[in-house]
Amino acid sequence: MPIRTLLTCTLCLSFAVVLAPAAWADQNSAGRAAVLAAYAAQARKADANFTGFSAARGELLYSSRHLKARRADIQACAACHGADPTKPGENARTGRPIDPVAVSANPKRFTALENTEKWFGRNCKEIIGRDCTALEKGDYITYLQSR
Amino acid sequence: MRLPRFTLAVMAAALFSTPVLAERLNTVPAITNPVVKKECGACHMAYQPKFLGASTWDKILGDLSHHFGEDASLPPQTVDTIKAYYDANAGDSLPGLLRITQQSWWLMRHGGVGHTRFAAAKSKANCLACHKNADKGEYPLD
Repeated sequence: MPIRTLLTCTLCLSFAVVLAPAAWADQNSAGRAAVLAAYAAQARKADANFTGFSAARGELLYSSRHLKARRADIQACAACHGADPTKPGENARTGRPIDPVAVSANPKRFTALENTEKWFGRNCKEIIGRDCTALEKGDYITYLQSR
Repeated sequence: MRLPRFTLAVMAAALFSTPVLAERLNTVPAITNPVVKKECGACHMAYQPKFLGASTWDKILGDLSHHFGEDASLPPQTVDTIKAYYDANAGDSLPGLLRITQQSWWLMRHGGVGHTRFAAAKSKANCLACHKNADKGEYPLD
């Protein structure tokens, strides 16, 4: 029995040693996974039947016109981030350029919860007309992670 | 009798349009604080503190949830950092007019700029559309 435990431990350790560098190599992915995990926990709390995020729902959220937007001329995420999220966007009010929001074009997106929350906090109210739910936030990130 | 009155009028006009201030504003110190650069530059160019007086900056930074029609709220400690920086580096302006584009020197300097150029810039807030190094504090006359 002790030998088996020892073997298991050795196996686990060697796995850790092999896998760790890969994890360090992509801190961005790890950060994004943590952000998604935080939203998944919130979504599960809000709805026990939560099964996971959906890129398709996220795409709908991203490209739809939201009639409750605060401004009649800025009613979609795409209004500033562009119809193609892999391309740079532009603030529709001020003309300031915005780095791409798609993860493939901008790997730093959604890697820190605090920053992600700041932008959802501002932009959901602006575009959707209310705070986004954890499900919506997770769907949005899942969509942009697939782009 | 007419000449001194004319001279007086010119002097008065000169005083009220503060050309001295305008002349000085060809270049202003660039923003060096990384928090200010990041947060104030997130939706528009981060405007240099010299453009407004400290009391005006305080008014703007004291109500970021209603920031010219936008909710730009930030955590209190971040606002404090930004406020300290703007207060320490502020210029002069009359109280009341919150927008840089409402200041007399700004209006005087942009009087000759046509609608098409402003339209192309999207917004008068977009200094960089015409002043290529505005974010470095350089606003040369073109």
